[in-house]
Amino acid sequence: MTEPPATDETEPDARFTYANERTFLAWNRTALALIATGVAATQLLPEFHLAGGRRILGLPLIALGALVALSSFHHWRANERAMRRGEPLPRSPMPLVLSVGIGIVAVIAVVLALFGPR
Amino acid sequence: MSTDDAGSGPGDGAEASDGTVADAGMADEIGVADPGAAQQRTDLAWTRSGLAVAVTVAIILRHLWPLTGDKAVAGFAVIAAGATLWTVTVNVGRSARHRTSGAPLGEPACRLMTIGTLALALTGFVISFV
Repeated sequence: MTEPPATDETEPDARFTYANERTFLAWNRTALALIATGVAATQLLPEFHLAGGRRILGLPLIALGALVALSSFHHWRANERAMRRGEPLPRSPMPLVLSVGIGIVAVIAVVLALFGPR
Repeated sequence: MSTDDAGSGPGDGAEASDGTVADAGMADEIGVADPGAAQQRTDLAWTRSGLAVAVTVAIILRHLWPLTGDKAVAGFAVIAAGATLWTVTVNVGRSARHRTSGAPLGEPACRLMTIGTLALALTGFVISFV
């Protein structure tokens, strides 16, 4: 998966690579928080009147967490490559995806809350 | 999460006298930019990530192994041992890298972290059907 380094690549300032690594870790902690919340929703919430209500709430959070974890690694690597080549940093759609995803889960939670626990 | 999580750039944390964040060149000139501080913030970010992993594992254990009575003590011991192992491993690995190149942990560590997170997501997905 690792691409061979291009001849025009140079080692970036260590502070840039440290900052890139911290950004990756922040995204990864976000992924872990989504996964932990999803697991807690499926395991710890009471049953809803709606069949499979806890899974409807928890599984999208776990899936979103997995997506965030995967994309954060790809984005970290793309940033590293861009810095080595002196190119502009690539844009990421993940802030929008994360916001929309959490918004959708929030709407699901409101609907389930309206049905109430069994 | 703190603002330095995002790593706003090479001069992050380097504040000029008027309170604005200086860029790398300016920070170097006034002598406040410290690559060691960037390294320290990154070390702390890895430690916070270890705590996040421990919390996620604890929530998964809550289902697989209900933490009551003596089992609770054993469960918390497992989590504490894992957190300690994480901290020691990250710090030993980082010390080894700094002795040789001074570089961040880099791709192997980030890849391992991503694989571990995906494994936790898969575990969470599976136990939701158990």
